[in-house]
Amino acid sequence: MTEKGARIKIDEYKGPLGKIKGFEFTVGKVVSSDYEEWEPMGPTPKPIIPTLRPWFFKLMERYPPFYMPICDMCCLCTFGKCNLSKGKTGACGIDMKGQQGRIVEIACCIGASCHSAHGDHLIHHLMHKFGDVPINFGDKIEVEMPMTRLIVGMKPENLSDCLEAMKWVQNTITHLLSAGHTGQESSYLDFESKSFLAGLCDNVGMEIADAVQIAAFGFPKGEADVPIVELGMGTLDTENKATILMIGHNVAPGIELADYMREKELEDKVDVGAICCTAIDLTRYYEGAKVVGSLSRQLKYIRSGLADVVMVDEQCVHLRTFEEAKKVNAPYIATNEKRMEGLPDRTADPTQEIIDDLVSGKVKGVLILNPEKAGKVAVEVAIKVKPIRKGKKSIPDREEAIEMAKKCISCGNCQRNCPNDLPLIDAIEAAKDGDFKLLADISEWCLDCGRCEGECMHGVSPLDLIIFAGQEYIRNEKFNMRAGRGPIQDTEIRNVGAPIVFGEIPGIIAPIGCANYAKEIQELYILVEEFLIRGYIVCVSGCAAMDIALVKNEEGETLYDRFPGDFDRGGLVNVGSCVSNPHICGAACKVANIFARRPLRGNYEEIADYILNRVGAVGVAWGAMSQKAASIASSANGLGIPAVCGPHSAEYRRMYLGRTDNDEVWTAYNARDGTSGHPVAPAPEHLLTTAESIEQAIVLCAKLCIRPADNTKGRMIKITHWMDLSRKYLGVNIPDELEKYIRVEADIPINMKTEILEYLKSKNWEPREVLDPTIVERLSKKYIK
Amino acid sequence: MVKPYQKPNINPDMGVTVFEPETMANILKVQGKRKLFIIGAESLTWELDGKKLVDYFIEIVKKLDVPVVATGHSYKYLSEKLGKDKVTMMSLINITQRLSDPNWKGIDGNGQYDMAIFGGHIVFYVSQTLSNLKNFTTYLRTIDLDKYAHPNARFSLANLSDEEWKEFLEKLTVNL
Repeated sequence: MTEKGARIKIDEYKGPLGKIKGFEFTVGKVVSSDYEEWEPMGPTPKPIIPTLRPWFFKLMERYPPFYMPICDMCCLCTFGKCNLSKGKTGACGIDMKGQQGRIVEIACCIGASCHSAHGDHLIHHLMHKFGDVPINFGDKIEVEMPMTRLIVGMKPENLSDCLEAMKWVQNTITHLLSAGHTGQESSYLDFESKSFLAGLCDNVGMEIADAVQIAAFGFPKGEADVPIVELGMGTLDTENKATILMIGHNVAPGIELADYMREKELEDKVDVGAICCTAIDLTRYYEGAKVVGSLSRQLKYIRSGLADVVMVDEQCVHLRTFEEAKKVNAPYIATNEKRMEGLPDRTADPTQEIIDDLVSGKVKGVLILNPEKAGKVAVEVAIKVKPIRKGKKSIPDREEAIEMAKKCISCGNCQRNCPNDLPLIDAIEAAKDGDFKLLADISEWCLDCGRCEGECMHGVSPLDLIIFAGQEYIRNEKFNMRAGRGPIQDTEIRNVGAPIVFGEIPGIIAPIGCANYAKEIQELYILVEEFLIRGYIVCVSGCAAMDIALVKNEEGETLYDRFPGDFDRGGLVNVGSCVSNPHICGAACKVANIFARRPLRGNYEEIADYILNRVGAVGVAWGAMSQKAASIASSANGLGIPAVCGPHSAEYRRMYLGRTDNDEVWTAYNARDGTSGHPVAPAPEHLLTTAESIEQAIVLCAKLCIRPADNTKGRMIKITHWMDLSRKYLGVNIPDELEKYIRVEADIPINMKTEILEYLKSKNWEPREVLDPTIVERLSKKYIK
Repeated sequence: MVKPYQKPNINPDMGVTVFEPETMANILKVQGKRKLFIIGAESLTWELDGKKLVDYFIEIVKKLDVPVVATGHSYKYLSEKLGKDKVTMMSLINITQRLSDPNWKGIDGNGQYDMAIFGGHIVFYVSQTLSNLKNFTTYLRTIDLDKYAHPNARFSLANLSDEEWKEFLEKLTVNL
């Protein structure tokens, strides 16, 4: 069903019906059925809370929630604080698992609403600017917006159609969020079921946000050979040009800024760069823009005095950026209603007046909610303010840094307040003697949060010292990355569908998400390079897409220089920003739809079951930080795509862990004959888990690519990689429980056959059947011929 | 207990700080009948006076004669030093999940453990896994031998300097 507005207007009519003049008739919505248009409707369009609950509960039979409370109390109502530890319940009756499930569900709702509100803003902004633009990604993509088709059951033809899908998202999030109120949901499993549904909302909200900006701004529509763009804190020409730093995720003001620069031919006077997803999205539009880096670069960049103007939009922006910009005399422009920062709303004021006020310093920051005006103001102010600012920094010079270090009494408060427990005491101690090497070394481990500063009672800023010590690195940080390409083409899916499902392409590895790494920012590079060399498909987005490019090989090439952007064996696909993530889940859905001809429309459970059992895709959120990352994980997990997170993600409080030693849950129906109770490999082992080190994560990713439906050649290839990586990174010759992953002798890697057969003999292994597996009873009979 | 190493990690139920190595030795020796030592990957990189932390732990393992679970990527080193029959490879989160299941049969098939000793883990990561064990088990004593005051462990150390930590571990080993 689609709903459209209708308007009939007759200026003047004279005919058999008589005379009509100035007639106008408007109807808010006309409902029409598009049942025949493209695909029969599946069983679960626009799911409400109970609709997919059986599927989510089924997933949690295998992957029960595993809770690690970060706080033992609940402080959400005036009954509290309530201590929930060790089996206690709160005044409302909630227990510890319920509370953890509730907090995670609320986080997922925040994340989903964040992406969706972003998308909603874009739809209205773009319809206002461009009209009702058609959503058409070209000849190579017929199945555009697969998540919206799958979940909402509709195929948006143009921007306004997305409003209907967005209405489902908004309505669903409201219901989900209400469950978090005191005296509502009591079951942790039901909170988790709601978290999964929030993930569906997120998938649709993100997909809409990216689809409408691709359609209206003309971003790349899935082409593999998108431009290589510049990445790094040293890429902006601060010597010769005025510089503008943007931070956030909503590219609308950035687009206007770029348009204004080009229209006025100011590209030789102004350089523009961005941090976080605005950076990626801006380079999808304007090749001249620079990607300054991921979210852990904000304070470093501003304090280094490299931005003449700071312009922020929404999401993941450090809340002290205005304060930081003031310290370096950089005028500050907020552009989004979600982040108004107490600034005067100058949206309606004359442009020149705003420019004059910012340049003269009469005001330090402004709120401009009109993207066009914000873009123009940013450019004009940057040009005028550059000669006034003269690159002012807010970090100490060498002498001041040594003096600051000497004030340190090594109490350790800063180190204990550092999220990564960086060795600040030793580093500052060395700086007292003018040795800044250790401070420079930990620069790449520093999350740039500034938490170290708040704890010092002697006026020492460890972050300032780190930034000072890292100045040379900051100046020279210049790398290449590939711009975001957007969706995966249907033609690519046709080429790789069979090799993925049969396991001959051993997997899709998808490093996504934020930059809250436990160790150095370059660590993720090791993982990505390993899988690219082995012929996996690697899809990246967001901060992870930037951080994997921060290493060059001996030839001076980054991974983007070395590996092609095709969705194919050994391809490194940058889909784009956070809101581009559904292109990765969407690719898995398209494998089911285009390769296996499973219908998408409103058919969530079947597609998720297909992916869980057949598509070896694994997400890697190595630095996940935000509530958005939580909802993105839910969106993947609900579809049967597991994710491996870094150590900080334990602070999300909840994982979905399988147990390889619990044989009861590792059974499936055989869709060849509809019979039940067949043992399958414990694969994927987990739906959401953390790894302690990148070495462990690499091995785990290879293991999680194994799927019950692999054919024997595919299983053999996947086991080969898993074992090879286990030997390389863990020193494990034969992984524990290998026997559970080998069904028949043909599954055994040829070059390890003798020793594996010997091992299998010691485990009393016996061959078992190779199934056509499903975990849904109704699907076990659906395709029997 | 002393203030947690991660200062905001304050909760109503917090563990006990053990100041004296002799006391810790007594806890390790006397309390608990089925013990397991879970050693993490940080033990390979952290050094005390030029000696790897993992080597201090290996000495303790030998004195206590307990099975070891190697987490992260610590298996290779530990199995080479202790022998493969003594060391099991498992992730920190997987072993925590099994320790929080009262019906788990244990690595040797002889049942759940009543004492889990931890060491060589990232402070904020193991804090979370210890939180699971604190909140959802009643049968398990958890001990963390890293230098940090871990409020989610039943027993942990007192935010020691590296020098103090080295001395603590050496005296602990002597007293086992």
